[in-house]
Amino acid sequence: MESRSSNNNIPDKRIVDSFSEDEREEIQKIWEAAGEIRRETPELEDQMIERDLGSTWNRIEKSSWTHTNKGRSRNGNRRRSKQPYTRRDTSWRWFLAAAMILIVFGAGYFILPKSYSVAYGETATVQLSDGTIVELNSGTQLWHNRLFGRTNRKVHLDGEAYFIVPESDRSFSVQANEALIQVSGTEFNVRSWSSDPGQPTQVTVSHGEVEFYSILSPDKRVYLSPGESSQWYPGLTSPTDPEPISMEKAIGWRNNMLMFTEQSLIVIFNELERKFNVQIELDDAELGNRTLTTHYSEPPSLETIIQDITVVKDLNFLETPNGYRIFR
Amino acid sequence: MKKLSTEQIRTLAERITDADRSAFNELFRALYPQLVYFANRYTQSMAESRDIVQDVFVTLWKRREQVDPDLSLKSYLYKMTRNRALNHLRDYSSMTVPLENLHESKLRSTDASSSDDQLEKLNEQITHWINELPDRQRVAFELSRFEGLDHQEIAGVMGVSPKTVNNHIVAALKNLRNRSTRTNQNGTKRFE
Repeated sequence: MESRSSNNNIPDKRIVDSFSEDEREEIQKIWEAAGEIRRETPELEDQMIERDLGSTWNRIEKSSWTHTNKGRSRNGNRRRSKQPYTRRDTSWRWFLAAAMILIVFGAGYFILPKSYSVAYGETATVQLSDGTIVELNSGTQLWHNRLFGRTNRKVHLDGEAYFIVPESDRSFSVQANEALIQVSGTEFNVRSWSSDPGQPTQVTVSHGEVEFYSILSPDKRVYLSPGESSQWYPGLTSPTDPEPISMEKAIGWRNNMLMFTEQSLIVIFNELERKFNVQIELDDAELGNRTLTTHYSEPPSLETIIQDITVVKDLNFLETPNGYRIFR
Repeated sequence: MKKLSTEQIRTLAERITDADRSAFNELFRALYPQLVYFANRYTQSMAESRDIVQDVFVTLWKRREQVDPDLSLKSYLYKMTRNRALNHLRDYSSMTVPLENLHESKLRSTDASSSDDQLEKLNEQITHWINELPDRQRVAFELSRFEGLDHQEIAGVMGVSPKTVNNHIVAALKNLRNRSTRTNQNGTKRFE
């Protein structure tokens, strides 16, 4: 790897300039010594790179099948063999036909989704046109297209919400990131923050039955019964097996409770930011991976909570103009 | 492995936005190994790291239309890789051996076969010291030293200004130098 060995000099003058003349030699030595470590690691062989490139294209193909947006290019070569032309042409024809119909009816209106967003520090309850009641946690977004209740009963969610869905012939579904929850008549909670690391989607059922799967592998479904919870995050083929969970923990947020069980600090701070409409800075991102279990049935002031967490985790905090800074 | 210039990466980014598969392949071949290596510093598993970085490239292709060629594609890829590696650590932290332990065992085994004892010891110490740097300093330093990213690119990964990047790297070097002087003064090979 010629690029590595040749740049043994500190590349940026700004770094060098930050040191005094007599410090520079020593710094240069440290720079060189640190470079040795990098060289010890094994290289990836070309063959391996090619194989991984192939498997990357496979993944792209697999996931683009399930997406509605099938942007395709002519200059591809690898996947052509797998997808017959007729099939692709058909989908284009359908797309064109659908586009024509939309234009004819001047239906731009139908394309624009109807959305509900809840400000930080607030919660909201909405009733959808099919009678479904949704309680939305702080910072949550919920949206559906204008044909909701007519041709479909599908909503999209980024955040956390509790659904009370009335029984109907047509199933009701929630898409949260890449996870899909399908129900007939039930009550259940979905938690799926795209801002949380790993983007897990957690489903907890209080009444009725729920079907839960990833849109990437719709054949691997999990069926949940009341009192059970399951989660899925990108990287899993199938959601986790249903596990009994305390309802209070799962849906305590509806009663203003704060419940964290073995949660990482990142997730906890994200939640506090939304609930209290503040910003919490972590000095050291890796601190965010530490986990904590804590329950507040009557949340005290944010400062008390921050204080509790930092004491338990042996951290310090400072108040900032719009929140808190946490450091070691 | 070819090293791509900023300008070349930019051109590739534009072609990828236009769904040019060969540009994607070219970028993959050039950046995949170093991104895997980078992820591996967090996950300590080549298999997981390859998985993570492939996922990053899948996302790049899916979001190619949103990729802004004026922003560094390299920063974008590093940033995604880092985030996902950290997510991975969070999700599987119980299964991962703590970083320090791993380094010790790995380094001890190389000790036996070493020809140049002193150099080995220095490397061992520096590895340890780098791992003990505050996170921001460590990331900035590693991206600069190991990944060869420039200040602007690192700034893109970390979401700070190039000036702050410089401060982090300088602080990291000062930190390493202090530890090195302290060790030399004590004349001990272990520290603290």
